[in-house]
Amino acid sequence: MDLQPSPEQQALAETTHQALIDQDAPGAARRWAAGDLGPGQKLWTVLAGTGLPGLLVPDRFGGLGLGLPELTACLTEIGHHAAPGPWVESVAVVPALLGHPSTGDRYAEMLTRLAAGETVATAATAGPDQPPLFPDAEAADLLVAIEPDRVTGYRSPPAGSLTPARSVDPVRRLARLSDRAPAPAWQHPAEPAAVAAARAAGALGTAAVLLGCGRAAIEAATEHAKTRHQFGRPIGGFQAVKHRLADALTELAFAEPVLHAAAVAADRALPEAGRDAAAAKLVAADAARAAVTAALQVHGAIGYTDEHPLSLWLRRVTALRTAWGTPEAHRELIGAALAAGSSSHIGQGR
Amino acid sequence: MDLELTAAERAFQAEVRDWLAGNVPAEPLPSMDTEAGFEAHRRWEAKLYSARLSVVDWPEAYGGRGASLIEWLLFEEEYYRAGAPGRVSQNGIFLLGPTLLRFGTEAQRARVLPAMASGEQIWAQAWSEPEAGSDLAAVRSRADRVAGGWRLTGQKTWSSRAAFADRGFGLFRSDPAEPRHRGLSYLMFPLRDDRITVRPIRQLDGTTGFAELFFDGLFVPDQDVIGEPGNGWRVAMSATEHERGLTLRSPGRFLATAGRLVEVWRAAPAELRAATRDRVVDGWLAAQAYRLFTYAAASRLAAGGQLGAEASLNKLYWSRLDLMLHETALALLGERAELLESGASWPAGYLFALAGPIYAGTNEIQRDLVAERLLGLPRGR
Repeated sequence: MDLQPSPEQQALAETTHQALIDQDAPGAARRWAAGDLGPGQKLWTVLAGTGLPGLLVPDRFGGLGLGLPELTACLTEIGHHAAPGPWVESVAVVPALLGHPSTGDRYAEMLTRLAAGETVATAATAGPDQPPLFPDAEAADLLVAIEPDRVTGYRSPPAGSLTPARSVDPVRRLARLSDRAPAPAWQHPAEPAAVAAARAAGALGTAAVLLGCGRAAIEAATEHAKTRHQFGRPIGGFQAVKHRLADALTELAFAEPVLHAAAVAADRALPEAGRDAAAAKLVAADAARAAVTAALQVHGAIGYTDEHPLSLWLRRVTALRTAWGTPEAHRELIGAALAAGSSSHIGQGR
Repeated sequence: MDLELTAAERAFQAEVRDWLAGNVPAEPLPSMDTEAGFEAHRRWEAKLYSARLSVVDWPEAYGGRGASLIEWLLFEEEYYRAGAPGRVSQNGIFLLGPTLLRFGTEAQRARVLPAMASGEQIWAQAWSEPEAGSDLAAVRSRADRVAGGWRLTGQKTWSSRAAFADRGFGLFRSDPAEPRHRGLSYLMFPLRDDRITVRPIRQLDGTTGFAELFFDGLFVPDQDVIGEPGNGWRVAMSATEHERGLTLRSPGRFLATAGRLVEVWRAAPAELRAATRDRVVDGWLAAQAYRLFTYAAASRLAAGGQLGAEASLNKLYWSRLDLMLHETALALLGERAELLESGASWPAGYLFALAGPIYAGTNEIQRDLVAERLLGLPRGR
């Protein structure tokens, strides 16, 4: 047994990290929220050069053919730098769904274009009374609605065919298909295993972004606590501040290995992979919330301004908490597994 | 990253599981905090030792089998899963033992370690004093130089296992001219001697798990000083940072507790099951998170990395986890939760869990260490 990240994982995360710094990802997020997608799309093109969009795509379609442990390491950086765009949907959910072994070569062309960075996808779950709510649909040329038994694809909906919906995080530009939307480009019955893999990838990808947001918030709060003086000394010297940040760091530190193990479980399609992905999302959502709320308190009023970078992470954590599975649904799922006698460790097949 | 066990790890796990299945006493041993129970636990240690299972990660020369940290963690999982007796030798094998392996002389190791591994000698720790609790560097008990060794005077308290143990170890002020962390020495001493008085203290849970020690010129020969005289603080802290974070409370203990909690929950009436589901899920999940964090830390150490202040993260997490598991179990016991004999000792376990945030360095001290050493915030209170 060896739970250390592989050198490949570390290298990919480092490359992503550096590209996001070079491209001023937080600045791109601000512009994205204001409706200027340009800098965010440029960032996407730059990261396409590292292979990130096709990281999960099998190599016979031109992807890197890597797995969720590597992908979640990169998506953590997406959260860490507050990068805008439908990353989780385009690089985790859609490749997991369309590239699932049960689909054969049916989606070869779409996967090839995704891997090349030529197609940006978004995705959402849907049901009879629940129309899909797509993140960043206007930046995507492939929209995938996922129902329990079928998947439906839409190509580049023209302007006016999307109805915006406002998220608590303005960087997440949500939209529904309006009545004027074109007919679906395709619709196929879906293997339950493929849908389960897509949902697990969504939960794991979102968990990774959440942990990255949490890390960034703690880093910002720590920096603030070292430099902000009150009562003649840095506020980071006061135990009330130190302990709050120490507790938040503890939550994050113990959520990370759960994500790593759940990503391995999903990669290996273990019987409990769904339970494990739910566990990862659950602990990541709680840890990230603890981190951003602690960071807000440590910053004080300056942290409550729109202008301060903390707002990017705080609002994203609030929005992502319920994306790709709510904590309530995930607790129910894990509870059902425990009630049925599930006893394998997270990330292990037995 | 690979979560599967190697063939060697699997074989080791199977051997441990089989041996425990055939040897763990059917009836729990009497409490180790009674004279009879202490001796019963000592005999159990001897039995473990005879199977070379008492200190699996120690070198073979001292009674271990040179197992890796990962294998040690697997041993612990099997040990607690089997419901095996508590380790009366805990202070010695997990604290003094690793200290001697790192800082002791070859003669000290040969003299002390095999007898510790077999349960022939049971050790008590002696850190705290009435005026030195969280502020451990404020210790006042003295070690004064005499021909061939040192004479101890002063008082120690909260000395775990001291009521029935054979020997003790702790920090003493050997150079009163030096301030605080300097001028301390790490010494081993006898507990059964005319010049030391051991006064057991009755704890919140009714047992006498710890004691006060009064030193009245107790003689310690030079051979029982670990490391250089005056260098005791560094010796003590290195051992706690590198080893205690992993070994004081291994995940196996909490995985077993979480497993028992899930069993109680599954057998509960439907309404109670629904009312407690989220807490059971969170408890099970936290035990899993603790397991994964610890295995990740062991993987880093195996690859030549360091632990340092991450040990403090561990302590903060397991002490809260233990409380969470026991509080939830009490909720499931309902009105019977106050009965000490209820549900396989959950109420007694709860009382013990209450001590977790206090012993081995209070959680407030651990939070200071996390904030200062992992986040780099200013030192001080």
